[in-house]
Amino acid sequence: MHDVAVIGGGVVGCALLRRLALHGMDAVLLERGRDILSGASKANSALLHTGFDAPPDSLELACMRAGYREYLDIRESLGLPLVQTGAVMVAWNEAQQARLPSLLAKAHANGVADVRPLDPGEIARLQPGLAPGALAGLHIPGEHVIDPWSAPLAYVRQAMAHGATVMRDCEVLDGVLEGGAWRLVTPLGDVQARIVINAAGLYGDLVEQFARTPPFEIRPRKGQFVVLDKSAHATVRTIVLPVPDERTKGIIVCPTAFGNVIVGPTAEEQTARDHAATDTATLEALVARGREILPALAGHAVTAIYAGLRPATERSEYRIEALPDQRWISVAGIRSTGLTAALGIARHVLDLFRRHFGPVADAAVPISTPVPNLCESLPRRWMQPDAGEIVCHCERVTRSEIEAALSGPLPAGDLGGLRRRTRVMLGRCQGFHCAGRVARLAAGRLPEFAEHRP
Amino acid sequence: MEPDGTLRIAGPDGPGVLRARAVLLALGTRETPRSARLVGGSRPWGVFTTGALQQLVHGAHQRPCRRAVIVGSELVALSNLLTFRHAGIAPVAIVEDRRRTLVAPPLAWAAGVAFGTPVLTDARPVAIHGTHRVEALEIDHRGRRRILPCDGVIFTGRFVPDAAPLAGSPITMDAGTGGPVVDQYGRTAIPTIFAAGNVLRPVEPSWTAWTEGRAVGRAIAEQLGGRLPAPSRRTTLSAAPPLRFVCPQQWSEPSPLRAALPMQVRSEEDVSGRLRFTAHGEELWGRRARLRTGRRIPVGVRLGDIASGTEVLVEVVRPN
Ligand SMILES: Cc1cc2nc3c(=O)[nH]c(=O)nc-3n(C[C@H](O)[C@H](O)[C@H](O)COP(=O)(O)OP(=O)(O)OC[C@H]3O[C@@H](n4cnc5c(N)ncnc54)[C@H](O)[C@@H]3O)c2cc1C
Repeated sequence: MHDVAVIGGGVVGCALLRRLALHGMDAVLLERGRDILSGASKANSALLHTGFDAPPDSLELACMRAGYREYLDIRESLGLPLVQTGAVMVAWNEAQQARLPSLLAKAHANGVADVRPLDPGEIARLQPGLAPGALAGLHIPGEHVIDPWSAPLAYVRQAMAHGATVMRDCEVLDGVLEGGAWRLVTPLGDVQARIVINAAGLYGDLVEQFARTPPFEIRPRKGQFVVLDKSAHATVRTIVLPVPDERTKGIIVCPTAFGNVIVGPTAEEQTARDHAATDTATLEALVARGREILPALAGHAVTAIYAGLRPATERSEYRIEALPDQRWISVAGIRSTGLTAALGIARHVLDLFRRHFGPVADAAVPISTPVPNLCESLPRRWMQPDAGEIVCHCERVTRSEIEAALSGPLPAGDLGGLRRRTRVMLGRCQGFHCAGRVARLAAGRLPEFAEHRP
Repeated sequence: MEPDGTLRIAGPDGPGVLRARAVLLALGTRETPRSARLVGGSRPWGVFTTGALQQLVHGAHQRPCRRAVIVGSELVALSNLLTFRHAGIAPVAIVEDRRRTLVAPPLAWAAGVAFGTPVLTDARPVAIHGTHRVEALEIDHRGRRRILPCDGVIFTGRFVPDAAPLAGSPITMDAGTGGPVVDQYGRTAIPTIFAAGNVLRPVEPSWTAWTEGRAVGRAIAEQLGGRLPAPSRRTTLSAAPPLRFVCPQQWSEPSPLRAALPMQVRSEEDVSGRLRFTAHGEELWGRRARLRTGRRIPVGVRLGDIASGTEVLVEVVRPN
């Protein structure tokens, strides 16, 4: 019998598991995918948001602020990067310019005091090479870029060091509250827990049915991106934001921790929860939009394309609630800020736990469990004198990194997991040079390399 | 590469620096993957380039898919059919977005007869479907959407020089070839840095790349031996659409040795007419030519004699 079962190994579930384990609880994470981050958390913009434009006085804002602070506090002990890009919001027309003062006031009201207005000259200094025509802008120095995959991995690894259990390929099919505890039915057998936390992201409403008629409905909202080659990286110094309108935050141009540039995301409603498709016309439009904003992006090739799904609901706010009678906590609708807010959400959920389910032990001194660095601007494995064989030259991934990612406490569960842990095959050649080598290293360990030729 | 031609390298012993009296860039080429072609859909396992598939099959003894569609109809598409046969993969179709296949029609026809593979021209991949594994390729075939059920999609050809390490270096690049601008001895904008093989342009068979490597190697030896002086005048060539490129893009004087790189021209589309080299509007050299998309047209012009130091335009003049 576990103290708590967390359903869903997205960034939110990973952060929850860590917080629970730090407080001495026997926690288990149940993830339906072959690896963590199989849902919304595998594809996002990778920004650590300040919350400058979050709804004022909201739970979302509070969680973002707390998550942001805690990320800065723990990142060094977990080996997590922070690329201090800042962001520049650019108004390209008068209507947009007219919205800047209220955005500035909101930022200050949200406690992000260092946001300030920019004139065209300052915009050009912060981001040289922008298309002509910027009228005015805002500088948000605290918006940063992080590694969206290493962070949740580090949270889970720390949780495991504190005794948590992770079960993958483990979809919760049903849940029954029996004699004061939950019995969760999974393909790996029944899992018993006193309390269940629903962090099932895009499947949040389906999982919620085990406890009650869900008061929310998940409405996936897709965001497509193009990733430009590393050659483009030097041209993008900061996160370039448009002025948001009522409907969307708009298309951004920003550097990634891995030394690329991304342009996206779109905002498209869809019903499917399990796949996020790109389409050529949208991708072409993103490439064009990137060049429109920053003409120097022309001529830099597209390295990768992807789409992510935001686990939105019919309302815009987070849907976090404790159900004491059901011994259940729902953590749903973590739509577009979950990477930032996850650590803060975990703290908030711990408070709910304390309030509704009794006392909680103080946090233990965290065991430092650093993850390997994948950020371009920090020392990487290939830079060490004992680097050894380099398997992927586009992303400079060594054999030792691949082997480490295939072993240890939470080895990659599928090729996607290996890619996210090492960057192998994510570069400009997309495996043209290294697919065979990777297959030989991973044969028998990843489902993709299971079939030998006759 | 640093501005002064110093090479920064990464190897088993970590990063290092190389300085040399001469460098030969033989970085080769790679295929354009699905992502850079902006083919939409989901991102399941089963989408490869020829290069990746061959390594998986021959290097790692895998059968990564059982029924696959081949996208593209350059020669390399046919080599996939051999790999398929070797690995026990059934070819579903060859899909080519142009109206004609890029290999000579009899070869495409042979693909159909020998391998029973339908060749669909005017057919463009639209989206890849599938969650964990590829389940189908959706194509636009002559304006109609079609679903080709399969568990593999191989993106073949559309080779690009693998010139990424040159980004940011002072070596001039040619947007037409995707490779460095070189003269007839393979010299780049830094005269001690040479290039040969498929880093120069898409794409020659291995024996041609090998021949180029030898010839440029000889030029390097001559230069090190003091018998090939630094260029004092350079003629620059540029290709007008629909020509995609002319390579080498420069002719240097003095030219005491035979050219290491034979000059060639390639076209973006099928076109015939008079292929002309002109300077200041005056024809230096010309002949009638039929150019087929992506195929090499050798050009037997010795520019040294006629146009030293000028800018030469290479164009096809179609008959009225
Ligand atoms: C385009 C886009 C851009 C974004 N940009 C940013 C950004 O820059 N900064 C930021 O902070 N946030 C960003 N986000 C938001 C962030 O990605 C999400 O808020 C976050 O990933 C949500 O995480 P989650 O853990 O709630 O959901 P998920 O990641 O979906 O996790 C839920 C997990 O539950 C599993 N699961 C589902 N059902 C079951 C079941 N029955 N049994 C077991 N497991 C189950 C799923 O497989 C999944 O892994 C962006 C999102 C998108 C889509």
